[in-house]
Amino acid sequence: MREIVLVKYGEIILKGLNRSKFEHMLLCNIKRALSFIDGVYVWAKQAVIYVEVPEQDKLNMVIERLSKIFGIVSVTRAGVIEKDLETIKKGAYEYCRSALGAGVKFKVEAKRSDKSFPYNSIEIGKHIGGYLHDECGGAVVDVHNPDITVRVEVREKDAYVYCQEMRTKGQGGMPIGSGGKATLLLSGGIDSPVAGHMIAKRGVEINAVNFFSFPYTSERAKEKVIELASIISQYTSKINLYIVPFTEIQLQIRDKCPEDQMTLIMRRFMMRIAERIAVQSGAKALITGESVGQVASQTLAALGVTNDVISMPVLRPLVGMDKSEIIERAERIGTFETSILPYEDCCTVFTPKHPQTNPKLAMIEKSETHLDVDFLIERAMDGVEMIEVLPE
Amino acid sequence: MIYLDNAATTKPSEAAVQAAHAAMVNFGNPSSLHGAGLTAEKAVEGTRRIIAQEMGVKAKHIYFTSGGTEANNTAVFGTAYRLAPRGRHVITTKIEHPSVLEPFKMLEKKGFDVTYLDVNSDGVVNLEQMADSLNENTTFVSVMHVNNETGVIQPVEQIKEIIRKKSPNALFHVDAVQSFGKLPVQPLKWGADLLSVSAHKVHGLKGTGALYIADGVHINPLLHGGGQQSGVRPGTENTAGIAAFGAAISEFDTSVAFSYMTELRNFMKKRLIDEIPDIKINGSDRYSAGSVLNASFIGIKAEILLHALEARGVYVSTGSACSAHHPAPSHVLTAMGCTRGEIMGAVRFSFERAVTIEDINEAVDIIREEAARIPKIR
Repeated sequence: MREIVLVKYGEIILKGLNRSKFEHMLLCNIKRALSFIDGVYVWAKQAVIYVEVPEQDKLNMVIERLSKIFGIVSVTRAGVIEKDLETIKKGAYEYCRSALGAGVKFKVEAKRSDKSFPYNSIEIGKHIGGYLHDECGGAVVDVHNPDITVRVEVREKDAYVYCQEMRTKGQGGMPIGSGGKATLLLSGGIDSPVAGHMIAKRGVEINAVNFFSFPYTSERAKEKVIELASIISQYTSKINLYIVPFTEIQLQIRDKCPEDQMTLIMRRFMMRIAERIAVQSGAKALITGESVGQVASQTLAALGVTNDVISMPVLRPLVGMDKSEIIERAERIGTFETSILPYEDCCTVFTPKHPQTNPKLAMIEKSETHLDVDFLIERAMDGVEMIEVLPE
Repeated sequence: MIYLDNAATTKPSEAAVQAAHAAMVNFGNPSSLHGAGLTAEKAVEGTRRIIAQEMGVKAKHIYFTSGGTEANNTAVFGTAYRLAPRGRHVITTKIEHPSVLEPFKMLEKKGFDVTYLDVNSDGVVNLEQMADSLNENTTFVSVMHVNNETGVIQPVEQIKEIIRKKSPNALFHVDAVQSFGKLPVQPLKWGADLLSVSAHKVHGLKGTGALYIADGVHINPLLHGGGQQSGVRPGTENTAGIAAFGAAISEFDTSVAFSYMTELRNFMKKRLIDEIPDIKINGSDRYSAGSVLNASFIGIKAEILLHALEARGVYVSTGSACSAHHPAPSHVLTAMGCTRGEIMGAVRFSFERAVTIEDINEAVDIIREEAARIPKIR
């Protein structure tokens, strides 16, 4: 039987007059994500998006891709049947019989959005339920506590049948692009990719900044960051990754500022540079993977000191999460394995033995007077390399 | 580019590449009965003879493997399990390559009694401990010829003497991966019953190695299959890699290699000691194979120096990967009693015949500049 992919979306439906705009964005995002497969045809009708895939052996690949697109609640493959009650009965049997073995409790839920179809939803359900019960030896109807829910939807063009339990859960969230753009401070660690994913989920387009300290970090560390960006781009489509040369700044801080303030002053530079890149690229906020109290530079006092150098809002989606919760998310989105590869990132090389946990802004500012901050930032900006990262 | 990482791998020689190409074009299976098979067989057997000649042994005692790791695994497992009914005590050293050490650790898990011999601060194995450890249950001893991190030569001939006296039935394996083609490798003279070599360390291709097994020695094969190579190592031979191996070895001049590389090493060592403060050379001079110079830059993380040198076209290696989160200090330098700082700052320079004194001069100039630029660890 020919199959199609049905896409259900969630939060967008609640939008008022803007709804069609959001739907259009989602549709575009889906088309872009599937553009590498020939002949895919996508259309929307009555709060369902239909994806037709001429090469049926690519259905799993399509579902896999769709399950990563924000704004989608669920993705289902469904059998396509001609709109005729007898044909639907036989088709439902053919499509679902392998799931309806002896002793399996099932129910049929029918839905008719084509009101010209001569049977209403309840009648369709009854007919098909009876037919499946008779044909599948030993499967029993149980409308309250079913193992399998057979869904039949009679829609404008065709009727569709699928088992509800076979649905793939989507990411939820909002379509990328519906929430503007933000700049992610992407290290090689576990946290920042998760933070980027969480904000992107709210419909925010992401670009990323990485601070590169060659030779203190290697080419492999850079490759690792590109790999992480590539994994995130499976959800967001293309990501512009800005690689900022950071060695000179770190060496200057190390030579001219107190050791216990090194990390904080370094982070202040990162914030300043990230904001510059954000402004240039049209982003309206920064995203970091900070979580209160995780390390010395993430105490409230430290966050205040690093936040003080910029005026743009900083989104910290992990702010109240434990490490174990962050790791769980990293595993789910697929960045964890890459994040734990043992290449040093710049945070681990210039680490003071006893960093300040309760810094005073005035003291940090005083230390920074030993540095030519503007000059160092200009120099770093001059050396920025931009890489367009695509899903692999 | 100045490539001083020849203990990791070497550039395949022109002759090796051509031989590999020819073997790929003449794609026959050496076991096939027709003419195409014969051509392939000739290439394989040709290399077998060349290796045997280089070692001064008979060709039929050479078995091709997928590399040094497989040769070492085959030697350790194939012998230890074969001889297990006679005894379950086996001996190796603390400075072996992981492809020997890990199989020994596996034997330990399977209930074997394993002795890991110490080395002195020069990196030479402790012979007294060897003599004390050998007993009537000892069936197998494995000691490397030249250490891959320090280039120190182990006294394999003396070791065999001690084995003969204390446990005459024990078999002796030598991992000669780092010495073959650079020093004379003479299993008969040394009394080695098994000996491993690898092609890509001597200008051949990756994925090819060989194991010498002495006359009358029987092992349990690791792999089982179509009976190629008398069933000791079945599997269709890697004809391209084997043909290249033979071509690479044909260009050896072992006597010249040793003296030339020793000259390079001594020259580089002198300049480093004279010009770089806080440097320490690891491993004996007296027993050096000349192919490796291991130097600790005290106060510098070797990996940082490595990347700084890489940016200037000088390729070296650190004793082992060293990261803040995954410290993996070199087991070899640890066994030699080096301090933490010495291990962290250890860089390995390894040579080959095409490296020139001018290369070394240029490399040392760059090393001196970069080492001075990197801030010392406080």
